[in-house]
Amino acid sequence: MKNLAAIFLILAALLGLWGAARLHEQLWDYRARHQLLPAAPLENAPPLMAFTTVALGGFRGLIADLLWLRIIRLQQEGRIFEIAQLADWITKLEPHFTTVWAFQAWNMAYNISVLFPDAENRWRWVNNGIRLLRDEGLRYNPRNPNLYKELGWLYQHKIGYIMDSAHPFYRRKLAETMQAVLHGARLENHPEDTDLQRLREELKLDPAFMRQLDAEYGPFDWRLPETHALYWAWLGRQATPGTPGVPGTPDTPGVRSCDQMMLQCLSAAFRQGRLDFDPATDLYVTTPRLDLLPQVMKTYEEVIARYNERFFREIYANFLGEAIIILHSYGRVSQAREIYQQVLRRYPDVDRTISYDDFISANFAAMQKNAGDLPPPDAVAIVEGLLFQACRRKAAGDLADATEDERRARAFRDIYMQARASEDHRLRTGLPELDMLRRQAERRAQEETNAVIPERTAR
Amino acid sequence: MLLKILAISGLTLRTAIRSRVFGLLIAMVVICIAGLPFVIKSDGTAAGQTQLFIHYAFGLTMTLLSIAATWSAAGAISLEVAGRQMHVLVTKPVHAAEIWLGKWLGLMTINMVMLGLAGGLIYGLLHWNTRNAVLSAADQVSLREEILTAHSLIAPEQPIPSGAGRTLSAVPPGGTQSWIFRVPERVGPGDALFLQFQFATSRIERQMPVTGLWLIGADNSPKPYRTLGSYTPHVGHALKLPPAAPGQRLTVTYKNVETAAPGTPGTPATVLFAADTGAQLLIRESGFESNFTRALLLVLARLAFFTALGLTVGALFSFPVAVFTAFAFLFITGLSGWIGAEALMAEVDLAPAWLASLLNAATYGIIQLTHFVTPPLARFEPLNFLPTGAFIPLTLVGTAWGILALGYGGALAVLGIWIFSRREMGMTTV
Repeated sequence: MKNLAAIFLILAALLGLWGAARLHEQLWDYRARHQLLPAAPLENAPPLMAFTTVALGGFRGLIADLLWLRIIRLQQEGRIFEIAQLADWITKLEPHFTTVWAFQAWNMAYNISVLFPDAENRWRWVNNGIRLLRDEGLRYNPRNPNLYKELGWLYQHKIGYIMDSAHPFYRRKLAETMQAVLHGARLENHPEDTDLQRLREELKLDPAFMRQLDAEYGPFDWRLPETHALYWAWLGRQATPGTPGVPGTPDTPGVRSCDQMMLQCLSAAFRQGRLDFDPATDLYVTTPRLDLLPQVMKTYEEVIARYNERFFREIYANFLGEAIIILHSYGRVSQAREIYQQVLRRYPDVDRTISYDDFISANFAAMQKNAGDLPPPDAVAIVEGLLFQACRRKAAGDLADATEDERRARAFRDIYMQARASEDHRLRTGLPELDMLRRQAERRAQEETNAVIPERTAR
Repeated sequence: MLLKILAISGLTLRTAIRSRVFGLLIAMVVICIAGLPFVIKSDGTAAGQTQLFIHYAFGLTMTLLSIAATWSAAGAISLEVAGRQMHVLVTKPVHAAEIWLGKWLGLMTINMVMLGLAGGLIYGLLHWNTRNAVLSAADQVSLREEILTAHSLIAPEQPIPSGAGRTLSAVPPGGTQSWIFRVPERVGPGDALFLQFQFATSRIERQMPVTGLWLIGADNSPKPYRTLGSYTPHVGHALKLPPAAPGQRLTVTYKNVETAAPGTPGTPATVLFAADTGAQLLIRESGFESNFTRALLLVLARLAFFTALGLTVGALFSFPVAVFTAFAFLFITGLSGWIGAEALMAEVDLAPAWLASLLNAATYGIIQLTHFVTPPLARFEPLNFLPTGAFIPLTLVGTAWGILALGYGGALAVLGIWIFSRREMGMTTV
């Protein structure tokens, strides 16, 4: 009797196992349909982290929530010494949840940094945010374009844009770091092994990709934040979930954002991609890179062809309008006119009754009227452009026109600066001194002369 | 009676030392604390690293020792009953109270040794990590004055305005606000004095720093000390003041020097100080070492409670049940402060309304009950003081011992002794 019961129990257990095995497939499909499956195994994760993510299972989310609540509370209380550690744990608990990485990095770079009045402390937190994404987030999510875009955003917006009054300090710090590694604006042909190692290990920049990006779209000044944003956006649009090395399609999540960021960064490189930097004298002046215009326009055309969206066509129209003004300021009138004609041909909605000269006059008047809202790179371009024309006219002996260009440059700068009465506004968006811009213009004129003379000699 | 208690505590101590658990615990505490500096990730500053190390090392010590104290106490009686060693003891002329107290004393001796070891290790590592070779002289001075110290806040002498409308002092652009402080007699001649302040601004759209001028004048000083700075709203700032003699009166004035033109970004802000905590004087009360010792005494008070808890449930249940019960209580006690704070902030919002109100009432009731049953550990949390260099008064240590060890521990002792004296030792066990 006792044996019979044991046999019955064994049979029942076997039946239960068989039933569970039959149901397993269905349950798996059900979980897959409702996106309840555990994330894919971690790539590049240290053993302890891989073990933790598997062992804690669903409790990971609960622990991450608790830690998140703690971060919120500590931040409200201004006790921030623990936040980097908590963010590290949260991201390690949810390594595939890219929103978590993006949020924590953004929180450090944007919210915590501004708690400090001094730029040095702010920069540390901006850097902490960048490091979290660049050194760790991408390590565990190497095929997530959104994460690349988020990293690019920190370079493009937090360091490169004017929102933070300490952004000039951030820009200089980045430039200092890159100059120490590159010994100039870009990677040399035969760099030292130690520099290559620093690029790869400390800054997570691949020299081969840097050269490829320079060859395709540049060359760029790698001391500028926009170049870094471009690099990460460019990598992001290739680092898609499919086959490694195969670029994503426009439908791949995150790819569109990367494309958009690339356009913004390329436009910024045209507007302010030329850097004169000397840490010893605290010189940091950016001026336009007019030579980049063909590559930027080509990229816009490619993206418009890829997406066929009105949005991209509109931002291209805006960019072309801006390019016309900048080219005109530097005296490249024929090139500016050509682009203007291109705009008229391409965009039927544009008012064709407005002549090129009227377009320029109206834009200059609008910029002076709304000087308070004018972006600093555009203002720099106009002032330096006028000073550049003055240099060329002076060289040609046309002193009267040169003086008039100088007067216009000075007047434009004065109007722009008068619209910035507060110290904070001047700190964030102020222009360099006129003498400094004049030196830039003289150097540019000298370079153009040097580039033209051998050409004439050759003829 | 005392001799019997001491004899039993000696036996408990000997058993614990002989067992592998004691050695394992020492190894675990040493490895965890010594390994901590290699795994923690601070904000990148010396101050942040030090604060984080103190916070996590102390927190880890408290957690490990609380678990160990509860575990070993839960087994001290229940395992001896299961192993029948207790039968030998209870047949001797020893009262249940003497056994309970002897066990408690023995276990507390172990707790003290473990806490002393962990405390020594934390202190030693703290010195090692902040030695001359690691930190610059400026960082060391800053650490000694701001974190590796014990300071307290002194409120201004002026009467604090009362009433809902005067909870904030507004300083418009160009305006001033003054506070009068008296430097306490206990402040030493070379002690650093700080003005701690925090404010909000009328400019709510952006958390931009505000430029302000501080003027600090002493009774007999003809020229006030002036410092112009840019300060971020909603963040605590500490401004180092010139040395002041004990008993001296300091007049501290804030002048809002924001002068931007209206209508542009960065419109001059009105600065708002909380009337009670907007500006306070931060003075040195004692050295870090004595504050650290008081923090260890706070931890020991909670270990006294957890030991009493373990012994009492061990007197009632078998070891596994006792451990489970004690840990459940430990867990609830540890989380009760957090649950109370977080859960009361959120309310269930459901339809129908009667169900939502019922759930809210039930949640509130459970939280109140939990608060009533569990000891107020959060009130005596050393981590609220030590990492930020806040002074732990001796009165707080005394209150902690009174409430945790004598109050809750005493109640558990009475209950545990009563249960143990009534427990049937001769029952058949399988």
